[in-house]
Amino acid sequence: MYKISGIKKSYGSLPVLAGIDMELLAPGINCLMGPSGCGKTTLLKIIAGLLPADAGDLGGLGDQPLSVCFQEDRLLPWRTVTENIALVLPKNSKEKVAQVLTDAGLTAYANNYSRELSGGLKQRVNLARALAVPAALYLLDEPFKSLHEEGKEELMEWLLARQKEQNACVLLITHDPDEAAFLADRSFTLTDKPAKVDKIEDRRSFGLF
Amino acid sequence: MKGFSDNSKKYGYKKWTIGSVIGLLLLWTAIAALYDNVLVIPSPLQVVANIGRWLMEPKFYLIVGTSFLRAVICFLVALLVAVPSGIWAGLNPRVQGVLSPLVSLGKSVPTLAIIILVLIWFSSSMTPLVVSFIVIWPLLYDNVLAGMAGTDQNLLEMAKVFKLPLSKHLRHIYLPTVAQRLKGSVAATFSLGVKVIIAGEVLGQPRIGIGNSLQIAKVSLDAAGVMAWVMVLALLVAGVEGLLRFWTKKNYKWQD
Repeated sequence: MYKISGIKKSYGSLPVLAGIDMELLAPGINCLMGPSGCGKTTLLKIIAGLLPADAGDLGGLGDQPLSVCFQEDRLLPWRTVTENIALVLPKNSKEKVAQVLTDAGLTAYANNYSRELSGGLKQRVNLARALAVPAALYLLDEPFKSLHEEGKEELMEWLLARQKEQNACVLLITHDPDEAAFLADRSFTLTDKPAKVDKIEDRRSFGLF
Repeated sequence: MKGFSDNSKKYGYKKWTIGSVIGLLLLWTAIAALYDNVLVIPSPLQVVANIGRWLMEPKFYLIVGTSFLRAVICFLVALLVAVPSGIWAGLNPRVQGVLSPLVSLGKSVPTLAIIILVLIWFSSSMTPLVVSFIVIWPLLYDNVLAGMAGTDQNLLEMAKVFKLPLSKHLRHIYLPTVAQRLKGSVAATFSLGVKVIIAGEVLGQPRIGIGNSLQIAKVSLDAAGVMAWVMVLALLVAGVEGLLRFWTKKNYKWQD
């Protein structure tokens, strides 16, 4: 369990996060939902160490080895799919890269550059790169956004398997309640700006199990 | 770039270029015929005949080769200094502060003044090299610095969260970004380097070089010789530009 408390953030005079308190299940998949632009990505960036919070405590979350799947693909345009994944892995990880490509269904695109890929495929590489890295904490910002239903399910299964294998904590931003219902052990819903945690639901309350 | 190449095909860019060259040659022929004095304006045919004669002489290749080698060496040295210094300055504002007066000097002092000073300090064969370096290093450095400033912040954030070491930052983010910026200016900087090398050779008078031969043609009132050397230089620079374009196309498959 990771306890985040009182995270506040303003952009100039505009308050975005008005004291976020969350207890993330670890290991477990935690989904973060809420209206567009309410500050979900800001919170994720604070946890990733890319933005400083104005106040609050991350409860040691920031010190964990982490991996991030950004909302935009952030692939190196001058490197192939294989090279983009190998980039975040230690040297001599050829086999590991090949395994990740297989798991993510990207073997056919191994030598393509990102401009040659569709939006959905780029997103797939983005997620594959994030999940390739062994980590205690995975921060995933709408990782299934531009994927087709069919491929999406396959990748969700991969995420579940990877989370179990790593015994990791996952914080996943989504707008899709079905996605949350399928994946989340715990889900948080934020209010509109300035954001506060509005609702917390655990898996048993989804009524699935 | 893609837009330009599409438009260039649509509007027959090559045809218009060839037309322009033919037009200029006709104009030159007409002026030469009107003036009718080979000592002042030789005709294009007389100039081409000069080049044709030189092509038979081994010394011609030695002269062209020497000047070309000077230009290539100087360009490569300037590039090898500009890339690390520009990257370092891009990463560290203090380094940028230290280098900025040198860059400003290199860019603002007239080339002729630099040549005169360098002639005092260096031998005549070193002068073209040193002057060309002083003139083109700041331009390449500025381009590297601009490339660094334009580095995609999203990629740097990605590199930060994945804790990529500096070596990977350099190899996979900074160098490709800088190379992309440089590839647009490499041809122009190289041709400027050639011009400065020739100017240095004209004033410095090393034993062999196109500048040297230009000066000899000038004092011999050989206008056809001067124009022939100018034409050789233009062809040389155009050849290098063509090679660079070919190389860029081959090595930038990821773009389009």
